Amino acid sequence: MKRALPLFFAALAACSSGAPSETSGPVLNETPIGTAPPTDHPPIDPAKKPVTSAVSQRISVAQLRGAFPVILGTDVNGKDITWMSGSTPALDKMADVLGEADYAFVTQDNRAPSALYLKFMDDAARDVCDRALKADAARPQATDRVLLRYVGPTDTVTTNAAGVDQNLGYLTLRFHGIKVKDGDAARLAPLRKVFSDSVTAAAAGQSVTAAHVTEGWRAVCVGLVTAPEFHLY
Amino acid sequence: MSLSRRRFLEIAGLAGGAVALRSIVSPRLAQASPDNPQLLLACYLGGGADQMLSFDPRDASLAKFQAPAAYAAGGTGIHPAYDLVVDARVKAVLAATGGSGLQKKGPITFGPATPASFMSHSTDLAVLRGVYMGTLTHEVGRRYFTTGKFPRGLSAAGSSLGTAVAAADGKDTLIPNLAISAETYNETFPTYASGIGVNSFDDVLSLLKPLGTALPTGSDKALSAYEADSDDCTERELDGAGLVDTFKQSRIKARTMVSASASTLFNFKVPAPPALDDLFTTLGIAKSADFAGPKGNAAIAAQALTQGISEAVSLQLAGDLDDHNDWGDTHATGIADALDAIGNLITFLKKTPYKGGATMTWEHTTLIIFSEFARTPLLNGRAGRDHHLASSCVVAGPGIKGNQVFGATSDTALAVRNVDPATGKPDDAAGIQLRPADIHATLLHSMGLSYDHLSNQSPQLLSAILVKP
Repeated sequence: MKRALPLFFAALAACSSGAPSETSGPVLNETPIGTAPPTDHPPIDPAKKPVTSAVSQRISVAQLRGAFPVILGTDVNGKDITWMSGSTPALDKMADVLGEADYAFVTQDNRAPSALYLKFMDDAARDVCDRALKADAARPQATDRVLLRYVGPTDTVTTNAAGVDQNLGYLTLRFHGIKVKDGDAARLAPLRKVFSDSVTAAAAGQSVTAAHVTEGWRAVCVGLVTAPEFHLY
Repeated sequence: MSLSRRRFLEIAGLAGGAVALRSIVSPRLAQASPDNPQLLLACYLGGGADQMLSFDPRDASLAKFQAPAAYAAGGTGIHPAYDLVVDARVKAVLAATGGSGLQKKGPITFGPATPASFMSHSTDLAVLRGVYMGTLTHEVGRRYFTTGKFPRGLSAAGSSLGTAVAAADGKDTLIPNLAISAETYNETFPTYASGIGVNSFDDVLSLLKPLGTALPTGSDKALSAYEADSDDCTERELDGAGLVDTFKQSRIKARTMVSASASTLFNFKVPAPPALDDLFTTLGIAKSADFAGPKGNAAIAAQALTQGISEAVSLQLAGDLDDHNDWGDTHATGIADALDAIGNLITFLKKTPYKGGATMTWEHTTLIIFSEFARTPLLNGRAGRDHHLASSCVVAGPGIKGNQVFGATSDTALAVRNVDPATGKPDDAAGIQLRPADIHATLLHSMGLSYDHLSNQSPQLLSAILVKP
């Protein structure tokens, strides 16, 4: 279930009465309820046969359409965030490229996670994350922000390690539907390194500014959107 | 001329609805190596090409191939009707050949729509006649010749010839299997070999360049490291069928595809930049509109092959040959334009070093030219030609004996004749019926590659055209 959160959000969007308005997209309640569940299994021994699911598949283009605005919220103009090519929704423009059936010539979605699909998801990730970051920059209240919910614009691992970890855990839940146990710093370590390395690289030895921190969250956002957990369920 | 392809870039279709997530077929690499790459150029003439105009002509000056004798009971049932063709090039050939329309180049006789630019390579070419297509349905015939396996209904079965070639040596190539306005399938080969479909040089650019703003270098490195190390339990849970592995391989391939240096190779514009001047001159590209037709597709193929961007390139060079009405108006023009582009493309491959090295690209290139079927030898009531089972194709390559004709059609109703695969001569009693599967297997064998994926078709090698049978 937790891995199907994007799908769930897509379904949620699809099932809502009427199309989402430009200013009030579906509401995501990311407030934890109860305690975090235990991990499914003990640490993985690579030498042993891994635990696997029976069947998994790639998210469809329709699910992407539903997932992007739910997960990324609205842009600075209050419009649902989705991947745009100029003024056109790129998921519509490139639907056939991404494998969506047109029911005229192609009657079955192609859900192969091909190089072509991943190339354009790379492009999509940078675009939607940029929109989300710009929208967050215009929101002074942290509770209104989508990506920087538990951190300030200049917070880093050095100045607010707990906040960064809390934010990373929140984003992991928001983007992948995976709830990280409180205090599970190890689980967040790879993403934390993406954030801190990106901030460090952006600062290039200078004092860290909000712009440098933004690059850190941009990299985290792109990493989450281009991860298999986002596209497979 | 515009190609009738309706779609933009496409993800390589997975044939038959099957999801091939891991390699089932392990390509055998015999002759191919970094020093001796094996390239494929697969050219498709869409809509059903009239073989009498090109690869399987008849002497139009003979009474038996003229109306009304051809249509009479007991007649030949073959009416080339070259005199009805409007195209000036065909008219010129008719005038020069006393009305026969036959253009003889050594042992090969070409039809009147075959341009000199194409025939100039006749010593390299093997013309295969009497290919039995087993269908009169466009999609079925196209997919049959594309994969070598008869489709399941309209759905392709098997993998494209280009996929099989790209699987052998294309793992580290930018776009191992490029399909230019052509269909491509991958049922059993590794994901990296799946064809990537484009419809124009703009499409190629959108593959090779990031859309929008790229990440800063530092962020890019941090993300790459994260993705390389990422191996958590969730991914493993999702990976029961190898999907995460496939996803990660595709993600790596997607990143490597983005290449600023490669994108400059496809920055087509008129007048040609100096680096593209020879290409455009050879292919006769003089105006921007040329990019939308066979010349433009040939230019993409030329760059992809000569610069080592792709191991396999499939391209459509004619898209509207389905002339059930008024066949004489445009059909020959479509064929002539396509073959002219192919001829000029071969010329370019012959004079352009592969990846700037010591050998010419053509020395590594195996060629196939095909259509989904032929057109009826008699005109219908609308001065058009309908679908006909007996087709032809042309092949060439370093492992193929050129300058020959293999197989035949009959002089009555242009029917398929059985052929002796060892000699290439007609053998109605003991010969085999030539099929796309045989041609695929023979080409792959000539390249030193396995054709195990065709085993359920019981392919017959056409040893008469193999340099090493």
